[in-house]
Amino acid sequence: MATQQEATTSPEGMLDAELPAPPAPHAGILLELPEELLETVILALAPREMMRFARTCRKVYELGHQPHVWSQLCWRVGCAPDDVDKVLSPLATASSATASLEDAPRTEKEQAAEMEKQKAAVRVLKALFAEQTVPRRLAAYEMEGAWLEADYNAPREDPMSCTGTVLRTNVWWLDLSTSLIVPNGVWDILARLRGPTNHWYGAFPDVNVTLTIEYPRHGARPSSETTWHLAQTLTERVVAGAFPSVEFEHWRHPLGPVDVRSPVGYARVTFNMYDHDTSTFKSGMCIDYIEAVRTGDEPRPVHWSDKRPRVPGSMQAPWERQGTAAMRELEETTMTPPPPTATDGQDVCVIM
Amino acid sequence: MVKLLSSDNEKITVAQDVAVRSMLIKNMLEDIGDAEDAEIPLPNVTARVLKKVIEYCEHHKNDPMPPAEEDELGDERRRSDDIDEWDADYIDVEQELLFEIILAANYMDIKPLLDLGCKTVANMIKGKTTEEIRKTFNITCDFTAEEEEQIRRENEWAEDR
Repeated sequence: MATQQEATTSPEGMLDAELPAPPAPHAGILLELPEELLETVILALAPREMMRFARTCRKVYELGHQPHVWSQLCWRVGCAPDDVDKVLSPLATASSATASLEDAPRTEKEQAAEMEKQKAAVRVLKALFAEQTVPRRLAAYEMEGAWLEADYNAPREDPMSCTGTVLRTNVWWLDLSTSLIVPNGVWDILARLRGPTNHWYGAFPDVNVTLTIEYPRHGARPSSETTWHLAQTLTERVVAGAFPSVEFEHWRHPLGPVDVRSPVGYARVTFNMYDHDTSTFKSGMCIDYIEAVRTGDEPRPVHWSDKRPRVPGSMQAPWERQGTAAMRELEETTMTPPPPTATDGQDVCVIM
Repeated sequence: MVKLLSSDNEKITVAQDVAVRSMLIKNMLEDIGDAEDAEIPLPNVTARVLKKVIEYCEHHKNDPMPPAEEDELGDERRRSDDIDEWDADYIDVEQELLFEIILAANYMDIKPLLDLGCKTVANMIKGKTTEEIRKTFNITCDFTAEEEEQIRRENEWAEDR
């Protein structure tokens, strides 16, 4: 050792000789570290470990969920930092980004942005699969709900042009579709629907619901190059009169179980609901998300918020006005859990 | 030789090539120039911890210096399973000293030692349940039962099956 001391013993000797018996750790001594050091600890953890750590107390949770920490974690799993808000639902991101590419004409810049999102999501997927993380539930959070594409009283000329994952509806026709990536296994697919609050518009007597399970034709991971083809399993159901008659605000529609046995370990499940019958009003109908739950597992309570974007310049539809009022009323009474819907006894929905 | 003054007023003399593993000391030495008799005060580091830090610097004095600034952590810095045998033995200390070393490494700007300490803490977290982590670090859960349940659900997708 190249150190010299005023005392005669070496540092090691001093340590050995003078160190008192190890004291008991201070209460929460780890938490006394400066935040930047705690962040360094967090960033040395794999995402799953980090999440367990974040659950220990409020300070770590809040620290672990700061954007710049997530940004670093994104880099860690190979995701672009501008996708940090999507990391918690990478599978949903992957599925939505994939389908977005098939959407209506976009500018090159938008397409490039979508492509980047998809690539980022795929990198997250790869990282997750590499860790052999099998998501227990694949809630497609942040899915955009349906919204009025045009004036609420003016049906689009070509309803089919809206087919895709962009969830839209109009007052006359209904065409909702979304998809997610599901690992092999037996799953219950649940579509979380939100009906119109305009109860004077009536119900939906006949709605076609299709559940499609596709396996990738080639490629080990979902990507923009992946070609999907129908799997052997194809579930198709026509729901006639299955909706709650009127005034349902949220409703979980069960589909399945479906048995996913993809040769590469995952499949794309697409939920589509459509009804082009113009005799009924469908304004305000939307999908909050679809969810894959392992068969036999209990569906979890769901927290959702109304994220429907406003179309610039559009008027607020009557159902929206009423819906806003209803939500406000619910918010004022959030101290008590909202009552379960008639068809969905296990759900608890909270307006956030 | 460089004279260091700990927070508890103990003077420790150390070879310059060892001392400059600390960027703080290196910068201070550059600032004071040839003032050989100058003491470098380290008011945030006790002699006990300083000796331990010097032990690390002595062992690693011939290592290449890490980059001064890193916008993003390099892969080798993110990994926590790449601790060599000497470092593992060195950092195998009781928890309080571990955290003091981390704080000292941070203050003295010794990135490799800071990384070693943080990786060690990370390794203490790995493989543990949330409750086990709380016990290990004496962390008190300050979530309400409802919050804890909600967070558990949020993270459920990432849990082992």
